Amino acid sequence: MKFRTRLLLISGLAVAGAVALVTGAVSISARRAFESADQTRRDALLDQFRGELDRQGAELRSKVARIAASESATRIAIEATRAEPDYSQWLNEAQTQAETFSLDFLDFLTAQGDIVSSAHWPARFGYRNDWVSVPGDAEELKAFLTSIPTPDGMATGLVAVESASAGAGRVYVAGGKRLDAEFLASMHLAPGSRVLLDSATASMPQLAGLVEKVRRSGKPSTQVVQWTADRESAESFYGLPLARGGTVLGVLLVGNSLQQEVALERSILRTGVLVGGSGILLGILLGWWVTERVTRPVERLAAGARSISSGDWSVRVQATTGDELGELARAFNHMTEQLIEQRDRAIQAERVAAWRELARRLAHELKNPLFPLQITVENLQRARRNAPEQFEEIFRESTQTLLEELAQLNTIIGRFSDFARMPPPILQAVDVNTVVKGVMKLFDPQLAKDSAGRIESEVELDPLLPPIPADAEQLGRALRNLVLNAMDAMPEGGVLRVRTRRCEAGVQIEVSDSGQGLTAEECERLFTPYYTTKQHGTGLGLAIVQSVVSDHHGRISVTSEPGKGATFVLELPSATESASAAALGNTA
Amino acid sequence: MRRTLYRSIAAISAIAILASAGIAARRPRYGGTLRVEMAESMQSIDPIEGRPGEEKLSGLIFETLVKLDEHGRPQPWLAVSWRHDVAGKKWRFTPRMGVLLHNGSIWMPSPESLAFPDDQPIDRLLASLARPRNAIVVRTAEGSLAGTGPFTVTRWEPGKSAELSAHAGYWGGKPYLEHIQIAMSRPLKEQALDLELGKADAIEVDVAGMRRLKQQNANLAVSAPIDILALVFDGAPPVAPQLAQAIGLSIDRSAIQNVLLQRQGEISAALLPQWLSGYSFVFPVGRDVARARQMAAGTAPVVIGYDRFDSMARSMAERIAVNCGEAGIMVRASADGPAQARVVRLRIAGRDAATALEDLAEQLKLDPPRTGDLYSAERDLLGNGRVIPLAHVPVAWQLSPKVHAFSADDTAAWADAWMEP
Repeated sequence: MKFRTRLLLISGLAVAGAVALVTGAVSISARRAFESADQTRRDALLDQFRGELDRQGAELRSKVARIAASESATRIAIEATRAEPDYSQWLNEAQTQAETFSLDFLDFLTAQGDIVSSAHWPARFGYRNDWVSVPGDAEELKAFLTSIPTPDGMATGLVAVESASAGAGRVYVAGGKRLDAEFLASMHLAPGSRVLLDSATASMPQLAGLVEKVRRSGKPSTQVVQWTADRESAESFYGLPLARGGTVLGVLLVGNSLQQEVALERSILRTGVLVGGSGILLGILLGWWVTERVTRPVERLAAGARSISSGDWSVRVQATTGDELGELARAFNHMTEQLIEQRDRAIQAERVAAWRELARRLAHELKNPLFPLQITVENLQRARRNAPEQFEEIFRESTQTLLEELAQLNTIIGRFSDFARMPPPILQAVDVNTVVKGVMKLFDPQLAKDSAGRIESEVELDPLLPPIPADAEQLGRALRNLVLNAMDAMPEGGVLRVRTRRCEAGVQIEVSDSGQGLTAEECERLFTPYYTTKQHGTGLGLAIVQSVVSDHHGRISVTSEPGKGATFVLELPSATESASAAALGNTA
Repeated sequence: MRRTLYRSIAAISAIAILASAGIAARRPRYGGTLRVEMAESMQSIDPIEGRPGEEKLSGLIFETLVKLDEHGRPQPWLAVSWRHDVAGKKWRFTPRMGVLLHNGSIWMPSPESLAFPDDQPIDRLLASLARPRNAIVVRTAEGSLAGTGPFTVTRWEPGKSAELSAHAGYWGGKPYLEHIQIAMSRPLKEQALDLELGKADAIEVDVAGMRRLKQQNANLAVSAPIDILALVFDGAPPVAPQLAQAIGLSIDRSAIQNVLLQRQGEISAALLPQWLSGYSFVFPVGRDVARARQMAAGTAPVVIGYDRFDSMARSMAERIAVNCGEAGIMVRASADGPAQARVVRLRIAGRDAATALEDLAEQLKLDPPRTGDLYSAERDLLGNGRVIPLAHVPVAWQLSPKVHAFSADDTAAWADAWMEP
């Protein structure tokens, strides 16, 4: 990933992260504010509900007291004084009184708690009342909540009990109001709030869990219910147990709509996304501008470095700013100048060294034949002076020697001259196998010689080699040098292997011997001009080979281990590769 | 002395005048319109189509060949005599002469139309002919019905109202009442209000209200217990006989009579009332909650239905549900929706026990009682457990003080009613 891309990404993420953090913080803050408001509303409703219970309880007690003071209650009490009371004529009295006083539940009870008349369940006459206990509940000073059996199941009601007596006869009146929606209707609710009783939630299975939890634990609990797929339909419910004597009789559910909260959250989220998006866009643009300013000098530095590495030492990086990047550019330019200076010095030193080496070589090479020349000439002088009779013979031998040594000198000078005058190759389509065969044919007489140091040759040629663009004469010279080197490396005899084959680059020529091999250091310096491992070598053979291979855009390598021979591998490009390499060379 | 004599004469004269006025007030008089209100919704006056209970109207319009008296004995009515035609293997009835139909024509049936096969005893045939559904109805070509009864229909709105007018040519003499106006589908509370406001002269009274009215010395016409309240298991899914028996054992009939029926009528485990059969006490009415609980262990809930317009049926259904709850049987009373059992009120028509039993079996969709002794036939009918009789209750009417001779018993009993001006 590019530095610029990375910078852009980091700046974008930083902006997005910051916006997300702010949005989250605002959302949490808003939610807490809503929860606090929700709590306040809920507490207010619960206070209102308790107040309503007290108010309606007082009203209920008043009604029940009036029924207990009615003529019918007194007559029932009088009937109770009889030995075999007949309450049948008051069977419907409870219904009449309940209608008159708008009560949902009303029972006239005997002193033992048996039902004389029941408004909400007339058929239960004669049975024992099981939702109040007399006389205990008649002594309660306030109305209380209890569960009341009805034909349709249990109901929760606010109940008051009063008694009436006539002489020894006593009758109890237990009246109640159903705790239902009508009971709660008088409560003043804030918009979005509602109060329910668990009896009204039959059609709301989503609340069953909360009701069950509150009923089981006897403790308040809360739950959020989402009525539809839209989150704005969510409602927070608080379940309050309505209990008496440790028994949960019902559950009061206070619901507060979360519509406003969800709408605000959505609005915050929308704003966050909008601001975040804009921030990211702005961040990208700003980041682009900043990274452009930051990375452009760096890129220029990189381009300069690349140019220098490719050989263009004239490149300089423009230092436009005074900051660290400008300092870096100036340092780069300084470094480049230093490198050029050092390179020039190195070249100069190398040239001097080369000349010294050449001089040394020349001196060495020329000294060898010069010394016999000097001896021969001195012999001639000595023979003329000391043995004139033998002078003729000595003269003849000495001139022969002088000619031989001069020929040797000529050869040496020719070699140097050849190396110096290496012409550029004239490339033509060449069959490498033909070149190899021609070279090997030159050495046939030497290889066929049956002597103690016999060298066996193994030639392995790939018949499917493609023709390559090469100068056949120069290529032959290079191969001859390699074969000569290999033969020189095997004075005691051995095996000379020459092999051609296709390779990825084009054609590969391998020349190996089974001689004494080379050390790693020798392998490194082998292609240096005038370096030789032979006693009488000029050190130009492998330099010529490398020069030829280089002129053909090829590559030469050597692998060897002491005692295991050496293998020289030439890789020469085929037509396409050669053309590419040539093109590259031209470009460079 | 003279003064004393004058005073005595004046006193005697005043007493005589007052006495004669009192006698005149008690003497039947012609004229007047009797306004009757009822909860029932009658759809037809045709005795063949009429349901039990609707005969109180059709009996005023159509008459039978014979009639059963208050002891259940057949009496000549449109037929004055009957004889056995041995050769023809038929009973031949002799029609009353001079009977005028409501359309003004003379009733002259062909002899063959009054001849019946003698494949059943004559008392059974007579009881059958006395049934309102076998009344003489003359169907005119236009499709209207003409009868021979004391009243003729002058207006008929099915389910709403009707008006009957006295049949001046009635063979038994013109009835006292000139008109009878009938308002149908009237709730009991509204009927009571109308009587109180003077808008009605005769209204129906719930049996539970009879006791209070009696205590208030209201003008009541009360029949013998001719209605039977029973629990019938005819719904789906069917209730297992064992569960039905358990429900029967859990019912507290004494509480029903003492409280719900306000000590009116009689509790019974028989179909026919004691006054008609004479043996209803043989069927046990006691309860056995422990046994019921044992028999009903693990059974499914049962829904008992009732007619929402019949408050007594509702009270009974709810009481049965409470009684069953005590025995651990889950029973719910409901006026709506499907029910496996229902509390029904059936009218016991006529005064012939065998005919009444047949009629009840037909209404209850039971197999017809086998011939033989009445008790065995009734025991067989109850033996399959599809019906649990609860009580026999009377029919009662509350009348305005000026209505007299209004009977709640017989089918044509209003024919003898008369009104003070």
